[in-house]
Amino acid sequence: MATAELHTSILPRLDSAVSTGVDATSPATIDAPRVMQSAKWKGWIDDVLLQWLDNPGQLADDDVDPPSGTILRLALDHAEKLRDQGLPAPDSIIPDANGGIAFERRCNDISEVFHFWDDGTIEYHRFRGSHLVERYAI
Amino acid sequence: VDDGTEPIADDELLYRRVPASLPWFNPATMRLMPQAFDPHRDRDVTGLSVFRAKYKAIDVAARGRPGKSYYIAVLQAMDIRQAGIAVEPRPHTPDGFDAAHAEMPDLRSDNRKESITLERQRVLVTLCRSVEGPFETPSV
Repeated sequence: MATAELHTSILPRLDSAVSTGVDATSPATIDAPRVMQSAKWKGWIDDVLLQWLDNPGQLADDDVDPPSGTILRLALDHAEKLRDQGLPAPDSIIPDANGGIAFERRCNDISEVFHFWDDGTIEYHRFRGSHLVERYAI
Repeated sequence: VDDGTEPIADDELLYRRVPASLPWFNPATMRLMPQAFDPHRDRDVTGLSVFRAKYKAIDVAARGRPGKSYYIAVLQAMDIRQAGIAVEPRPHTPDGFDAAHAEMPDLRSDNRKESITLERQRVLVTLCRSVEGPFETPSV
């Protein structure tokens, strides 16, 4: 995923704390937002995506096809990339009904979605309320 | 005589089944996700399925796989139509006759990835009057 594409996100990006070198140990100078987001990503990756990869069948239900291992690995790879680029963790990671997965982040009436479709294509969607105002393939 | 083929009245309530096994409804936040209205790639060829409350009790509409639980998202036909989404009776199903069965033909397998469908799914979330349950399907 191209970094330039990710930076088109209109939701607040995490800005690192400015280090002065004067006090590197007190909590005030720790890069708290980034640490917090990294922990949130870790939760999604370890407690959700890896759990699903271990047993995709747990997501099968009436009229719901579970994601394949390929799609889960694709989503995992992208979660790690987004985390490593310092982007905020999603508010939701949700399987769709057809073997796809969506990462969704919300801020007021704006929702940003990375949709990993069942055929392996990845799209970025930005909604304002229910209106899709931006959509492109990654 | 009403037999499930008559038009759906504006004041009718409609039930959409939502698997509790998936994070499509969070009872703590009461947030329903648009995935609850995802058309299935094979099973929603003619439209997204809902059930007419006049023909089916809510706990019966919620029945799915034995041992699994389901929520029911409650909508009203008038709200759906006012949002520009059609809803029609479809009692003849591949599984047999079901007077309660209805469909939203604007959300189908073949257009599930179109922008208008993604938007309609989010509109339907906003139209939900309530989410009830979960209701457990008895094990056989």
